[in-house]
Amino acid sequence: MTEPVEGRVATDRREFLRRLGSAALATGGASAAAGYLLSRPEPSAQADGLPTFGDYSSPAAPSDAGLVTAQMTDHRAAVRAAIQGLGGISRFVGRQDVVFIKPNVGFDRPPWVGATTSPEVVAEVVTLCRQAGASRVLVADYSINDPAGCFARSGIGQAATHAGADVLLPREQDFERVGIGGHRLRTWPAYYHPLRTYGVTRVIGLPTAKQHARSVVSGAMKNWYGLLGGPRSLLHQDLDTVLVDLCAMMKPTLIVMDATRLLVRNGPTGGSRADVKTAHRIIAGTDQVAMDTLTAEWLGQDPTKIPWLAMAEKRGLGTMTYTSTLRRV
Amino acid sequence: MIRKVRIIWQVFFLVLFFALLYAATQLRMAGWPVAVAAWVDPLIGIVTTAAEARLDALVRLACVIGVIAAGVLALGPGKPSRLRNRLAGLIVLGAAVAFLTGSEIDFHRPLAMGLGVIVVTFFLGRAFCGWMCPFGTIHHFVGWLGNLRRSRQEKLAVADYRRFFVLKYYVLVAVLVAAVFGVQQAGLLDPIALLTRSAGTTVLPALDAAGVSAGGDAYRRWAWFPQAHYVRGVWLIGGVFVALLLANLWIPRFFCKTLCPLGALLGIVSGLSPFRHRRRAETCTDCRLCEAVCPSAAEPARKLRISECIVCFNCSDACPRGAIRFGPAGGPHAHERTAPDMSRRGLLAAAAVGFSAWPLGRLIDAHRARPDERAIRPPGALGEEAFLAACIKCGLCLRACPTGVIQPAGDQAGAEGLWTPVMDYKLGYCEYNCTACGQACPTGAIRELTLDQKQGRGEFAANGPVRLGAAFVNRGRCLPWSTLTPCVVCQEVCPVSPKAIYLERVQVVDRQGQTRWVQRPWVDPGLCIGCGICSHKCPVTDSPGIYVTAINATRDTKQRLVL
Repeated sequence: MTEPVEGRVATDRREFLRRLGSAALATGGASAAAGYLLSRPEPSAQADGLPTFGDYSSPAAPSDAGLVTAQMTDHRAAVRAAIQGLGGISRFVGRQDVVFIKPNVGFDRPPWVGATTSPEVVAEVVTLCRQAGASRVLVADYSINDPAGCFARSGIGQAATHAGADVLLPREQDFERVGIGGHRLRTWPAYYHPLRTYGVTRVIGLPTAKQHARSVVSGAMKNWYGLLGGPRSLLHQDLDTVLVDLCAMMKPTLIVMDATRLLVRNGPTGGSRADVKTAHRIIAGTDQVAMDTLTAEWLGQDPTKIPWLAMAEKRGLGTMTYTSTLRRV
Repeated sequence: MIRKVRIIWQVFFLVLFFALLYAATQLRMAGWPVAVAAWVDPLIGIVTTAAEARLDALVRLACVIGVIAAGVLALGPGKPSRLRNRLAGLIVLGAAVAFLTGSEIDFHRPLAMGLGVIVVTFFLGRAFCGWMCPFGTIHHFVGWLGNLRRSRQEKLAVADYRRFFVLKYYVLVAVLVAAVFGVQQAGLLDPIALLTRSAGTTVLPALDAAGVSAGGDAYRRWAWFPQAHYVRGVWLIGGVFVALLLANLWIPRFFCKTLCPLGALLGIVSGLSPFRHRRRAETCTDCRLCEAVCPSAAEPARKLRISECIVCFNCSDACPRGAIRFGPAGGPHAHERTAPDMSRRGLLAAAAVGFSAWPLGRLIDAHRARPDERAIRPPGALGEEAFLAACIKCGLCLRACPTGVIQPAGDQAGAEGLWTPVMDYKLGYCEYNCTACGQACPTGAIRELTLDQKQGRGEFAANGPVRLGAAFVNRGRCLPWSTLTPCVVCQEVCPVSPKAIYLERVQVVDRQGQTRWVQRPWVDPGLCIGCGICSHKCPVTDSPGIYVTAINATRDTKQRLVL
């Protein structure tokens, strides 16, 4: 035994063990807490147990309405007219429906660039859904640029909120693996979380018409790309098949194509006024193949040279010969 | 009573500091003065201004020698006299005038706010340390926690002045001398820069991670941080921070007493203050209650050390007989020490350390002749030399960046440039329509740009866009070039119009003998702005098929690439 030094507490074996024990507990506890905070529950891996996007089509929707186009300088009126041409919003959205709207908000760009869906088109569709009695309208996109910036600069965040929608900004942890069952996309991490947690019953796509170096056209099918997470830049290796898989992934309620501006070159980002052609046009419909075929023509492209359109038609997802059912209002 | 007022002030400024830091993390800060804590910090103002000044090396040397001579004169040998102090003061003044008139100074105006703190300190002593400094408040609190378990005897023991507390004055001397030679190192230990850097890279991200886990959707709706949180080298920044916090359990306000160069600066200024604490020896019973609660080792029951006192009013509040009061000084007093107890030898050594940062910090690195390819700076950053002189490594740009591309430098910018911001395109990319970093920067190391200026539009069309570097295709790893696999992701995301990446459509024969078409990317360096989104989004994620280096950056003529 050593004599206790004045002003110091003598440390004996018991004290030493006690301190060692509490230090170990403290470090262990902190590590465990950190581990708990940092780890997220992994989604269960069983393939057949995966959630899937389903059929969001409305039973009241007209079965053979085809495409309706409207051309007006008042873009909100054009949206109303095109949807009216399909029988009105009430045939698609009913009371107590929870509507998920997917505009193209891929880039941090002002509206005039034409890289994102026009805010007035988003606002009008949200307003119509609200008028039809939807209990909740959600607007989301997993942007390529920083989401907060995309929703702010494109004007979509403010327009949608103003019209009565909730804007969701996806984060990486909101994605979970879903069963897609496509030829290339069998399963993939997707932004499915809000569809489940909010009990979404209707899904509306609001693509915008753009040129694209790989897929030639970025339209209704390419728009669903914004629901995918994970290493999605790998998908460009077989983009044709992936686009068709996305078309088959779910049955959306309605698609409203924003062709008020056509981004004819330097797509899908644009950035110069010279890249944009003003068209004041809207297409409404449910056939994505027909809609993308028409969009391709408007963009000055030859649809017969776009492989994924033919592939989608062959899979029975729609028709490239839209002319017989096309109506202009 | 007044102690409670002080605590309310401290909490107020601490909350304000974190509120502004949080505001900096919100995209497009909409004109919030997020850098105000750094602006009111006079050390940052002085060091940045001195380091940025362009003047002859001989004038620098003369100034430094003059100031050191003044210090030596004031410190001895022999008994200090009023005459010698005045003479020393005159020399310092002369050196400052020579420095200011002989140099070309690009003064960043908001930094003038630091004068306010100097004036307050001149009249009231180190009230900034005791009442406002957010880092001081954190140390104060942790030190107070550590004292809870101590007896009065133990409290007295840890409250004692120790000889090594003089170190902070030497830190200050080294930092100032280095600054006169154009080397900016205030940010390493300046409390505002240190806390901003530590809180921005460790505290806030940790709170956010906890909030996301525990708070779920409700948290995300109201308080979430839009940025990515991964910070390279955060272990070092966070480690220093945690170590400094823990040191308070040993000695309360350890950092403030031992290391803080701002506290040292204000300590020297406070020696002149006409208002200070006063102990009336005739009423004092030498109970030393005041010393047990003194957080700054000012030894109020003995000869009060004015340069250490942070005017916290703990002593006067604790005195049961009202023997300590704050009031007019009324001339020199036997019961106080106004000057820090620096030694001549220590002063010379500290000056030598500061001076050596000038040649040593630069000899080691070849950066100035041939810039490091990884020293890619945020948009609006000054040329490398001016940038290093102005940047205080506070990391506010890093917090303001929406994509997380700005990271604290390890070795990319030399010894001098530790923790200065560099772009890491693996972690993010520069957002085309964003100038948040320049809005956040407190010292103008990153100039605030308008979008037109950054993109070279409108009245800035003739200047062209601000380029951070240039992209190069690594044909050995690019999918279409090396594996005949279609891709185009880099071209797709390129934000300039016309796109700086263009595609060559080529027919290739694969190993099965099938003819296929691939689109191979090429870069036009005349259009590329070096934003790095191509590299960040490249599907070859570990070592991308397209990468950006600092060459062709507009901020430095040494980096010119295109004829």
